[in-house]
Amino acid sequence: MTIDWFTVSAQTLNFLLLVWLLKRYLYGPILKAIDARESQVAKVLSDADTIKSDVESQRNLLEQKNAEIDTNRDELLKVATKTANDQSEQIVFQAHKKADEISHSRFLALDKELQHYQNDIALKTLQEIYEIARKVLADLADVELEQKMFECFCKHLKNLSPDEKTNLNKTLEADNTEMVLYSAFELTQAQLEAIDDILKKLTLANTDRQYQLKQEVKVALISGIELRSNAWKISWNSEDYLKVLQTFINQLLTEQRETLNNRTAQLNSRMHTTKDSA
Amino acid sequence: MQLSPDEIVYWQLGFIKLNATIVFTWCLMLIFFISANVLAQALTHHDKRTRWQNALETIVLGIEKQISSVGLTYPRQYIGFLGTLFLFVALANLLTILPGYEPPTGSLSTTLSLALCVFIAVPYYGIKKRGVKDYLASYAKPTVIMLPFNIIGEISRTFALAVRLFGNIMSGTMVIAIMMLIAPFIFPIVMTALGLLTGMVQAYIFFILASVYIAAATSVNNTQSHIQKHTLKNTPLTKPSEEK
Repeated sequence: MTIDWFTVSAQTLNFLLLVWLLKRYLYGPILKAIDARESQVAKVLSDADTIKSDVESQRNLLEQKNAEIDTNRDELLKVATKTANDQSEQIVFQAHKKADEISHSRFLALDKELQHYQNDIALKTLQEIYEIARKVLADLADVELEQKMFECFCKHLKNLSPDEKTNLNKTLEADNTEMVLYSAFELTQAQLEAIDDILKKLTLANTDRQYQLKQEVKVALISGIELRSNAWKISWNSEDYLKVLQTFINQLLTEQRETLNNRTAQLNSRMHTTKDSA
Repeated sequence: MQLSPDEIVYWQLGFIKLNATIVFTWCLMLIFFISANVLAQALTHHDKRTRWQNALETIVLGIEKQISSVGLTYPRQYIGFLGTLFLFVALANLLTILPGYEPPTGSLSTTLSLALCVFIAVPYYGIKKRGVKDYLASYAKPTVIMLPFNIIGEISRTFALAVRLFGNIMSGTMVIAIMMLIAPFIFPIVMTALGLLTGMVQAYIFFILASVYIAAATSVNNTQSHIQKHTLKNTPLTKPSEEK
């Protein structure tokens, strides 16, 4: 075992050469690659930190905004509720007002229509009653009935009130006053003479006065008799009864209308009371 | 029986000779050079790496970590020298499994040359970091009386490095050779396996001891001087490497 100094020198040189080679071709590139990758990782981490800080700042901003929104929300809600309530009340008030107007106008229209209908009904009723009465009386008008009517007329003529008698006398003051006797049937001569006698009795104070008594058949009178001069008239027929009936019907309809008006007024006042309480 | 590959001479001209130690060292250098070149070209800087790159990075980072664990603050300054020391010794020892291969580390000339390199590297790094005066002053510490002992210790540990590695590898080779003569079956394989283990351990020991010697020459005193300078100048604390 000896030391060969040439080999020692050669191995030293070889080793130093190997150090240089490995430093140049092995450690340098590998460490450079590691450093590059670590710098990339550091950059990625740095970017991630930046993004994280950005996200944090944005989150803080959003939280701040949320807090502001929460603070303002109640106030805005109160204002919105008050506005909505005011508008609602206004709308309801307008609607009530409009409804009242419509109701009133409708009521007026209905009232007008009711009056119209009432008048129509009354008119139609009367016309129908007239027609029926006429028809009935025309059918029943025979000699006996006509005799009865004649007797009624005579009785009526005899029982004239003092005022009517005065009027009759005034009418007969003029000479040759024409007295026309209208009837639905032909009067007999005896019947005419009986009427003439009654007239003469009524005008006893003026016997010298002359008048002419004429007879005319008037079917429209149905079963009635009418004595007429220029300014005086006396009659008995079914039309008088029918006029009484018409007066009664008109009175009844007027009462019903007043009842309806009162009921509508009560309804309106109740509606106003309900609205005020609401 | 040859005790050293130095004795196998292929060519000689005067005192210049080409023995097995030099030839096999060149072979190792060639393997290192070709491997490093080929692998360096396949290196990538992104996440997708080859298996070889992963293996190399693991080895390099492992060496760096070991240097750092010894106490050297900036291991990349020393990885060129110390890493090559480890890799050379390790590969030289591992290739003993190849038939006909003579490990250069089985030559006292090689181990001595490596130990001399360490012997030179220690003051080199020490002076580089601490300055000539400060480094030389460390030999006279704790007292001037210790100066000769420190110098003797410096030389003896260099020889110890050389002889330890040479003795282990040479003895391993010798044991295998003897076992081949006595019991050529099974036992040589076991001894070769043991030789691989011994070779790796010796590579690690050589590497660690060299690191410790360099660390002793640089780290502690370096830190003290750095703190002293910072206190005197009242300047911000900077890296020692930036003071150059």
